[in-house]
Amino acid sequence: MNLNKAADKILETDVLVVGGGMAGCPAAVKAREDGLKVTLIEKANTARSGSAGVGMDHYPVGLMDYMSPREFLANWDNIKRETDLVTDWADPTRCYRLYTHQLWSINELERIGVPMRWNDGELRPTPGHGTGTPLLRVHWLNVKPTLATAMRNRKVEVLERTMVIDLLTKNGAVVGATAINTRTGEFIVIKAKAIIIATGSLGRCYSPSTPTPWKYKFLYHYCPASMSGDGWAAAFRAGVEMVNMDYTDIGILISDELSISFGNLVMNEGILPKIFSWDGQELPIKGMPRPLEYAELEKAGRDPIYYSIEHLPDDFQKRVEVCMADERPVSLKMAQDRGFNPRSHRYVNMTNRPFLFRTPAGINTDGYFKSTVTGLYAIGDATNGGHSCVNAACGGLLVGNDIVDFVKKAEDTEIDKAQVEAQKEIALAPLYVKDGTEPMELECAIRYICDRYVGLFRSEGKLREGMRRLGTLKRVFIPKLMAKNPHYLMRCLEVRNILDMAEVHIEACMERKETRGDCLRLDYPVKAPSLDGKLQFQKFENGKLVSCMRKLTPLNIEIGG
Amino acid sequence: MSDYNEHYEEDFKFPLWELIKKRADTKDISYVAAIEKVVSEYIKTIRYRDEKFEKECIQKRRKEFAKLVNKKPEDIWGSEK
Repeated sequence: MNLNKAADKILETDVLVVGGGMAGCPAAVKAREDGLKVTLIEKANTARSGSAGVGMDHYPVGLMDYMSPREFLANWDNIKRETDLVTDWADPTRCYRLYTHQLWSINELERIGVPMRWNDGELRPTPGHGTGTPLLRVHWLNVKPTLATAMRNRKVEVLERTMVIDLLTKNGAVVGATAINTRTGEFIVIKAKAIIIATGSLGRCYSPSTPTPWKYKFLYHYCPASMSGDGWAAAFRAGVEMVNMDYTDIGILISDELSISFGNLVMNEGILPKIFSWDGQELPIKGMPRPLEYAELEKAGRDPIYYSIEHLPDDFQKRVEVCMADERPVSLKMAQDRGFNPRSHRYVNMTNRPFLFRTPAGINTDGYFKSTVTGLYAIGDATNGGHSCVNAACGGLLVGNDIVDFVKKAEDTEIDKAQVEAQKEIALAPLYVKDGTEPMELECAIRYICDRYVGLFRSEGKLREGMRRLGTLKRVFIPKLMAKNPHYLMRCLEVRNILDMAEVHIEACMERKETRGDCLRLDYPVKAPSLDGKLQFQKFENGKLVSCMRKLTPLNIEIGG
Repeated sequence: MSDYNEHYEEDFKFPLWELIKKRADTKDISYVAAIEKVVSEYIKTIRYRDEKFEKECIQKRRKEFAKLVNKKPEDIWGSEK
């Protein structure tokens, strides 16, 4: 087979960045500045895509102001053993590098045009986070257009409305990827010496925040609707190891479609919100209730609970308004249109269920963001512990910097044409199906299974049944997926990715036979001491999903400072 | 009928959103374009760099919360550096 015949377009690049968000854009800019040829593909429009597309009001610099990175790492094993968290930081080297480069990332972002300072020329940390992560308040409504411009000015080749299908590999290394233009249907082959996955995590295997009217039906408060795990799934199918894939997060899911900016409702620039039960009793909860706390309230008939910022003084009320204008200004409009006055009304929160994968889950990478497949890197929410805009941007800048050495040493490798043909056949198949399954039908079925058979409170029987049902969906309905145009083809590819990752998720939930942190097993209600300090991994090997639990990676860097 | 609608006010306006709307309408520009200018002016009307004021507000709420949970503020937040 001739590759030119199989592909509508063939591109060649040094570095392919998949995903144009807060991690991908800085990585692309930095690698390009280092003289590499860089191509970035983005499923939507880089100027307004991803979690930061709605703007951003904070840049959470710093680890903890009571502990230096050095102290943190010195206590690494104790922290991981004692904490209830399922390890946000699978790799202490990466953790250390991120934390020690956060101030550097501020300078780098400023240098490429991202505004970090306020009108008076000063940085502005928010007050009052005595034992939490200090936030740097930023006016970042236009951070994504700024990053898009930075890429354009440096001549990064950006393919908008282009979705990755799968990665191309040879002898255990990535050599490129296949992609599709979601408007024209153009099938593209991209030959690359290195690939950076920066597609965020996955939110769409669970139902969105609220059952909203049709035009808001994709409303997720914490993640954009584009998060269908495309990078995760493509990397997984290429053989990477995933880590902590049982860890889903909960959050403040506000009803009435009233979204918030991330930095304001719980933080309020240092002033705790008040939290009330439905009958007006203030609850002794600092910040956000964890799942077990909420479950107790629910059991006692005390939910929904209400968040209140009525007690904030006028200056802080105005600060909250500014936060909303900097991040999700539509929430100001929607609240006003509905007559919701946060000075006298309370935000209702009545959910206690997972809704997306967050910090600890993702592609397993080492201290230098390298995955277990040669030439494949992952940053931002796509990798474990790369979360939040600061770690996404900082990680992107670091990888953009580090990748030069790898690319310079990389040998020119031929693309396996049969692999391209196979990926094309799978990807374009829905275009030829008539009277089949709409992708949204299948997506809703997956969400139902994850909501009903996984959820927060897990047990062997439900998980097994969920896995069985997913298997049926895969066998029966994936071949029936139909797409009337390239946009629907994108939806079909997304649902294939969601399904693959949902399977990994359930496998990971079954594998954890204990309760740890927010990973709750009704049939294994306590922590298993034998699993202290261990992480779990899933991998696709010889056509099978393989799981294992093993110890945390030791620190592999000289600690300075 | 429930008292659901009492949850809302008929004529509620965010001062900042009103300014954004006004500028967008007057200049015939998008809300996003209006926000940049309006926010940079609006923040001048807010006490942002007054550390004493900030600390007082934060401590007041911390004391309230500590009372609610029958603890001392320093037992929850530690001593301020």
